[in-house]
Amino acid sequence: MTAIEITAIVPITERVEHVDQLILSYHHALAKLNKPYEFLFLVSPQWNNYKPSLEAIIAQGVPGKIVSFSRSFGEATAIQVGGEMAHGDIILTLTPYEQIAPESIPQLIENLQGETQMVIVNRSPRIDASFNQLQSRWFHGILNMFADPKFNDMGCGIRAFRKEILKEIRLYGDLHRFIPLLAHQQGFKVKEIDIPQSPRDAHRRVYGAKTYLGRIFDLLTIIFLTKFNQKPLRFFGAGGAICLGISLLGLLYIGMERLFFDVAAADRPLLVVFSLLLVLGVQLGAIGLVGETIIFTHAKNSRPYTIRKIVND
Amino acid sequence: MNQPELSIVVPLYNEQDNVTLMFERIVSALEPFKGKFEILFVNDGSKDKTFEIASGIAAKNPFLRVIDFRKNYGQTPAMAAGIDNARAPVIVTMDGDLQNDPSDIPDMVAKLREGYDIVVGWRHNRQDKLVTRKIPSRIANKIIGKVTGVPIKDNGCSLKVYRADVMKQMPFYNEMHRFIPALLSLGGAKVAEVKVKHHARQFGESKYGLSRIYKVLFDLLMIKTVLSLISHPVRWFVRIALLPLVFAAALFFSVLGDISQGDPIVVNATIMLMLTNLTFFLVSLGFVCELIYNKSPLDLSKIAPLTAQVDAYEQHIPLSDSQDTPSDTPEKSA
Repeated sequence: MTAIEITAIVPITERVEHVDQLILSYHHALAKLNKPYEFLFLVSPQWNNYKPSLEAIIAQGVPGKIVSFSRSFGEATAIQVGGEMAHGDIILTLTPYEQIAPESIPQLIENLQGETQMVIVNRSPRIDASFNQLQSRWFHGILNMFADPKFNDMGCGIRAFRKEILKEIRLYGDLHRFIPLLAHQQGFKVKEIDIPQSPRDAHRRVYGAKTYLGRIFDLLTIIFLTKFNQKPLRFFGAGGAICLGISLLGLLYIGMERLFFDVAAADRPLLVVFSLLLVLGVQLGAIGLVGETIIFTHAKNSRPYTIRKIVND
Repeated sequence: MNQPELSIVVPLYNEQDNVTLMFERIVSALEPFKGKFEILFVNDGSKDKTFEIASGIAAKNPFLRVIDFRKNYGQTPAMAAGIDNARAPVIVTMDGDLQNDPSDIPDMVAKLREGYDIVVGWRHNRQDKLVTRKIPSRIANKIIGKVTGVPIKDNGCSLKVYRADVMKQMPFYNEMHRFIPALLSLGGAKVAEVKVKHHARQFGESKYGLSRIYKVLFDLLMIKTVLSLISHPVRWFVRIALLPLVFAAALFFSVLGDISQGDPIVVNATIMLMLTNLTFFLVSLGFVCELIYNKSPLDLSKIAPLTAQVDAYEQHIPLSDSQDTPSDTPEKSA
């Protein structure tokens, strides 16, 4: 058998729809590329009931392996683990539900050439419920106020990229959504291509408050990680300085009134507010310093650059 | 190639017109070190043909290595990459724009071998624009000198010669290359300054402007704080925590007085508790920092090379007179 070139990672962790049909369509689409490929199904324990149908698909001739975990895990971990097990140089992440027509998957691989080391999908035109689109637009609107470059569809789990990217970025928690941004930060070239959204992806999705809250913190995390990676004091220091500034002005005002206008300070709730801001400002600054300490002491391990290659090494 | 004596690190960013000339000048300037030096060109994500030209030269010259970055990271990371990959016990860094003159290198290396840890170039006759480059730089140097207590006249000069064992331990990120000498001398390293030649730019554009100054100063303050912090984290935070503690104690007695007179105490008591809380918070952070430093790969005693390492140093670097008797030991063993 010739060496495997493409490894398709299918994390079965959150949502699963028509998985056996879908995998077969993926299989047929990939077969058209004439490149040897393999599937890796990473199954989270709550979806163990899908294992028999996956085994049946493999028995039908889909080249693949099932990897089960003893504990439930997220998509980010699945991609990281899948990347370590992959034989192919090209990693393709696929979703166990249909986001785009499987027939268009080969387009990603075709675009992955030359300088481009990662290809992601922008589902366009989108045909799902306007409520979904609104959620997505807000999410990307906030993200793109800070992020550079600006991508339009972080929610699409279908991506193709070179395996070396996974060596330079660390994936955990919910960071899988931001792989393109993290890869760009490490100097890889990312290309977004438009592919129409599949009608099967079009139904309305409403999530619980916990999910939305989680997304907000994901946003903050990625902004912090990409913008203030090497300079935590600037992130915390800005907030700290604002708090300190307000509180010092306020305390000055109260002090003046106490000294020159004989207004008693001891029974003013405002004094508590300003003191609290003072304390908060000092705390934020101190946390920023702790962050700087971490960066400084670990700088030798986390090199501030990535090397493509060394000539004559 | 056997172990070189000298590594020359040159960060390059969009320097296609300068690369070849740069290489030739270094080679001719280092005639006395022929066969005993290596050059590291670090291509910092150039958008022009810099990398192609440099690789072309490297194909014919095995002592040249070219490190290719995935994107533009800046001068400090480029120097860090060169230093991390250098193989010689003495490392030279210089700009890739021909403003530094490689002919100064032999003198600086000789100076280093007199027993210094780092030799810094001083562009005493600087060929740059007065308002946008020279004046801001002079101000920055004054401030860096004041803050660190080490009056180095030209921190910004890239032409520097280091002992590799010291530099390889040094954390190196953001814009730190400009106060490396100051930082090292804070730790007790011996720093020498040598006047070097400086040429006006021939090709290409200067990539650095005024906006850097505030970043440099911010980084400097931060590094100085972190350095003084991590040698004694708990003590450092306790010192800071003393201030809120004193205020809290004063408020405590004032509250006691209020109680005895039957006055309202809520506001003062609340503030007192908040300040006490802040004291505990800061002291706890001290312990967290202690833990961070304790678990980190950084060893401060190695950044500060101090005199204790002088013996080891003499073994690492052959003294300059050993050059005149080209190594005859390999011949004997052969």
